[in-house]
Amino acid sequence: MNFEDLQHSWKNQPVKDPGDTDQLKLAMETSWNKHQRKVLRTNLFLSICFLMTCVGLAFIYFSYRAHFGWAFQLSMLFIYILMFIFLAVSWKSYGFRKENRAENSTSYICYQLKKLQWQRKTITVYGRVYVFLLWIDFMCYTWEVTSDGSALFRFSAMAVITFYIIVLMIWQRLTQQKKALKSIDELTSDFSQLKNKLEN
Amino acid sequence: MSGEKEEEYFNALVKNHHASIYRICRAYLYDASLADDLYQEILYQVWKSLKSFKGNSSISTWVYRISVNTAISFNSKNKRHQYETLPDLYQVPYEHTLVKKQEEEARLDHLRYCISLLEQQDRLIISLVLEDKSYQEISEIIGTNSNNVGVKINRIKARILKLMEKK
Repeated sequence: MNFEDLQHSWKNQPVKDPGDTDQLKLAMETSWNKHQRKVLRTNLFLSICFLMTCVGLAFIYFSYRAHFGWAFQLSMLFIYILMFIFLAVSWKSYGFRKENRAENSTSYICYQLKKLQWQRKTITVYGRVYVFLLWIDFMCYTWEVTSDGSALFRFSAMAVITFYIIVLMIWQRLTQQKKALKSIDELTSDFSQLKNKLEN
Repeated sequence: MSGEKEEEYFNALVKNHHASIYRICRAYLYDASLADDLYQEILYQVWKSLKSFKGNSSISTWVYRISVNTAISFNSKNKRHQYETLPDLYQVPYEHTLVKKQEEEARLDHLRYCISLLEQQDRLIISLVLEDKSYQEISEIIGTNSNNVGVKINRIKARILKLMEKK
């Protein structure tokens, strides 16, 4: 037995009939349009929510800034920072969805690795930044609404909120985050291995 | 590319390459139903990418690149099918029906099984070798230098022949 014989058998094997290409195109167009509509709806929904939140926050700020102190101003600032970080991360994540499958496999795998690194960074670094900014906001808000209460009441409220956020963070890290990171790390290892074996 | 031209291109692509695409799927995945899913996914990706075809490489290299990359992506999404030795359950019917099959069909089935025993990157390369692609074309599709590809191909061919002889 030699390789050429095998190659000959291989090339003569019965193959799947592609069928009617018009039907095939129609099915693909339907699937593509459905996907596009979904992306458009999601983007529109997110943009409208984002805009409404910005307008709502601006309204609150200009209506009540005379009644509140520095903590109120600071919380508004951090909410805006948080929203813009969320927007930037969402846009960058969206950009990674436009992959080019017509490039060579090594470049394609490198792109997949970059995408996975970004997903990891989003979960770890930006997740922490998000929680930290949210915590500052809650602290500022608590500081403001408890301004008439005693110091014990104010710091107790802040401690309870901090404790609640920490518990939520730990729970999330031990469950969803752990699972997501495990899956990302496994894929990263597989892709790196495949890339190395293709290159060497 | 205009809509009409795009349609013509797609028809021609399917006509000229569907057999190669299907064989790549069969080389990459032993299970025929999974290979069918991958085949559909590749045709979808080819159709989706048509607008971005700039003619920097030959149309055949372009199609093979999409096929190989889609296979890589398919594998990462369906991890359980990745480089796994087929369970005994799959091998028993194969052994059992061997006598009934024509010699050619049996050999082909055995070849598919032997390919499924290779590692992922070797399956990708052998699927292109079986399609009679040159070292140069394979290195363009995979993205490595052709000397490396040559060494790998010889090693994979030898492994396949050894596995085929084992039976």
